[in-house]
Order: sequence, then C-alpha cells, then structure tokens
Amino acid sequence: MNLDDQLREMVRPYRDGTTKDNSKQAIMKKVKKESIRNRWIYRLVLVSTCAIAILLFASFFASTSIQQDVTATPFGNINEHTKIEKVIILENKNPQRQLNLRSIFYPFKESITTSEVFDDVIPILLSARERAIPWDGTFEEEVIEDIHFTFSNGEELYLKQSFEGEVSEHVNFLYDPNANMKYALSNEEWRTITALTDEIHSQHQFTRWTFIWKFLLVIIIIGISIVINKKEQKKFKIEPKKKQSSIVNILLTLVSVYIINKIINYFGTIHFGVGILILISVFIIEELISYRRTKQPIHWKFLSLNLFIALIFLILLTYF
Amino acid sequence: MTFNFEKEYEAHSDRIYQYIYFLVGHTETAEDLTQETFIKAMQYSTSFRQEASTFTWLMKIARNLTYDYFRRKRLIQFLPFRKEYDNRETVFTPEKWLENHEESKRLYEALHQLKLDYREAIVLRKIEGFSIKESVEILGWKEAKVKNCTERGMKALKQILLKGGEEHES
Repeated sequence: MNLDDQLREMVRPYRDGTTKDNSKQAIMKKVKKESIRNRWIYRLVLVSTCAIAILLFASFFASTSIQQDVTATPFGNINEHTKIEKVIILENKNPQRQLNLRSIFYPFKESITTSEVFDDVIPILLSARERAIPWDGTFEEEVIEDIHFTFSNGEELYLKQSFEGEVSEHVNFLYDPNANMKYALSNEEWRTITALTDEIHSQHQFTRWTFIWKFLLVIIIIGISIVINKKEQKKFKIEPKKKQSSIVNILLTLVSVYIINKIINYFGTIHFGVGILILISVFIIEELISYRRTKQPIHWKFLSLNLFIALIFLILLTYF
Repeated sequence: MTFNFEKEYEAHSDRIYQYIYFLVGHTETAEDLTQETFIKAMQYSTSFRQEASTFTWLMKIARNLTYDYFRRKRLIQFLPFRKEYDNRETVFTPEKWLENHEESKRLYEALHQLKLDYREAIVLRKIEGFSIKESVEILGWKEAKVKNCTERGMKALKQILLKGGEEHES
C-alpha cells in the first residue's frame, strides 16, 4: 500500500454516542449563557449611552441658562473699590443666545485671572451703569463676543460686545442682556476692552509645544485605534467585514458637516456635550447602515470601546 | 442564513473532531475545539453567505480556532511555571484506541513531527480528501502554497517514516 492509501485508511478517533450527546448539551448551554451575557452587554451599552445622552443634554440646558439674579443691577452690582478676579470670553455665532461661560462644556472659551487692564475696565462698567440706555434685545452683527466677569465682592456679570451702524461710522456697544440695557463705548473705552480681549487671546495662542503635544496625541490615538481595529478584524476573521461604500461615506461626512454647522449656528458655539452626542450618533448610524448592507452582527463591545477611545481623544485634544 | 445546529452537528461534528484531532493529537483538546467551532458557527451564522458549503465553512472556523489554540500555547510556553505542565501535547502520545493499529500509530507519530503547514495540507488533501479549491477556501492560502505544502509535506513524511522504520529495525 502506498503512502496516499495508508493516509486515507488511517484509523480515526471515534466518539461514542454519550460523548457526542454530552458535547451537544455543553454547546447549547454555552451558547445560551453567551447569548444572555451578550444581551446584558447590549442593554448595558444602550443604557449607558442613553444615560450619557441625557446627562449631556441636561448639562447643555443647565449651561446655557443664566440665573437672572446674577445681574440684578444693570452692568453689575459693583463700586470703584471692586476688583475684577476673572474674565472669560467666547465668540458667539448666535448673538441672541445667552451662554453660561462658567460651564466646562464650551471648549473654545478663553479666560484670564490677572491683567493690568483690569483696573481700567472697572470705570467703564461704572460709567455704563450710569449712562446705559434701554435696548430692544436685537443685534446688527451675526457674530459677537460674550464676556463674563467675576468680581472680588462675589458678583458676576454677563455682557455682550458688538457694534452698530455703518462700517465707517459704527459705534461699539456693551450689552447687558439680563437688564436689556446697552452702553455706547467711547473710542478710549473700546480700546481698553479690546486690549483686554487681545491679552486673553494672546495667552491662548497655539504655541509650538502645544502643536507638538497635540500632534503626538493624534499619532498615539491613531496607533491605538489601528491596533484595536486589527484585533477586532482578527477576532472576527471568519467573515471579514465588507467595506462601507465610498458614496455612503461621503454622504455621511457631508450630512455630519451640515448638521454640525447648523448646530454651531444654533447654539452659538461648539458645545462639548453636543459634539459627543453627534459622535455617538454617527458611530451608531454607520454601524446600522453597515448592518443593513452586510447583515453582519453589530459588535457592540468594540463599538463602545471605539467610542470610549474617541471620547478620551477628544477630551485630551480639547482640554490639554 | 438560519443555522440548524442539531442537523449540522449530527452531519459534521465527527469529521470536524477528527480534523482537529489530526492537527492537535489530543482527544480532550479536539473535543473542546469542536464545541468551540459549533458555538462560533451559531454566533456568526448570519455572516455566512453560503459561497462555500456549510461543511467547508465549519472547517474554516475549526482551522482558525486550532490556529488560535497553537498561538496561545506558544505564548504560554514562554511562562516558566506552565512550561513543565504543558508539554503533554508537544509530543504525540498515542491514545488507547491506537494500540492495536501499529501502522496508523506510526503515521500519527510521523504527522506530528511535521511542520504545522505541511501537516495541515496533508490532513486536508490526503486524509480528508478535500479538493485544492476547498483546501484554499479552508486554509486561506494561495493554490500554489497548498500544492507546495502537500508535496513537500509528503516528502518529509516519507523521510520520517523511513527513518523511523530503520530505527525500529536496528
């Protein structure tokens, strides 16, 4: 008998009926256990996502509402001895909207706690208290600057700064949206306010070190994402996932950009919580589309892991 | 696709078990990996697009799980404590049912001295009788590699058997 025949005729291991039955029972037991576990993971992910969504929405509403008693007196309850402790500024693309600049959810706000200009601002605010005129709440400009002051006497003041009139002869104003009063700044006063905002902007400039740190961060996160993706592909290599068609990708990107732009214009600025909500929605929609196309199960554990990494990445990139 | 576990298990579990046994050479491990194969098949039955037969698909899962098993084993062998306790499957130990089949015993021993690639190719092509196309599907290799590994594997197997025979005679 040649080797080919010998191999074909080799004695094979035999399993008796009991072994096979026990094995079958064990498989069914394991699958049942696994499916219960997966259901719980799915529920946990769903509940956590909903909880995060509710928290972020709640944070958004809390962070946009300004307590009325904060500015009971127009242009602040202050006197000549009051000192400024902190100033926060933020560009607002929806001037009508009152933003709580103390909220941590506005990543683009900028602040300063010491400045030589602070002492020059107090007389402007005192002057505004005396000479402010009623204001109907409208703005001529589409993008304005919101300013939040914290004073040594514990008072806080939320103002908006913009201008009215033709470009050649426009007048700069400070607006108190809670008191519905506005104050026309003289050229000298306007220069003081501009010096203050310029100083804040200059302190938050993108330095070389910030660039290197953010660049390194992007590289590290991309590396981690690639490793996790590869692990995911290896784990589910039985049937590799079909790639999303480029048309669907382009459409999704365009829709996301449009929605983000609309949301920024509606909220006035980028709100971190809303950003996260969009991110979660995009991830889930992409998976659902992929599921409809390929009929492959959604790997919720990896989806939540990817979301978690993206979240950490956004937090690090935004706040550090 | 709805995966009929009862039907598929009855139809293919023995051959899957035997295929895994040929690769790992240990009954308990082969049984565990067979169970694992059917569990994975049930979990991912929706991703099976019936481009291949259910049996080929199951064999592919079994092969991947066996590979993962070998990979894990290689990793574990680096750990000093585990090393001395985990040697039982690195050398083929004939089971009781092989005692009265001297020729098959020699073949099992020789097979387990082969490189894993050669062993896989021989098991699929020569023992299980799969076609080249089916072997390509199961192994995820190119046709040329399947042919090469089968050919070289057979040569190596013959040499091992020849050497074993000479030692036996002397």
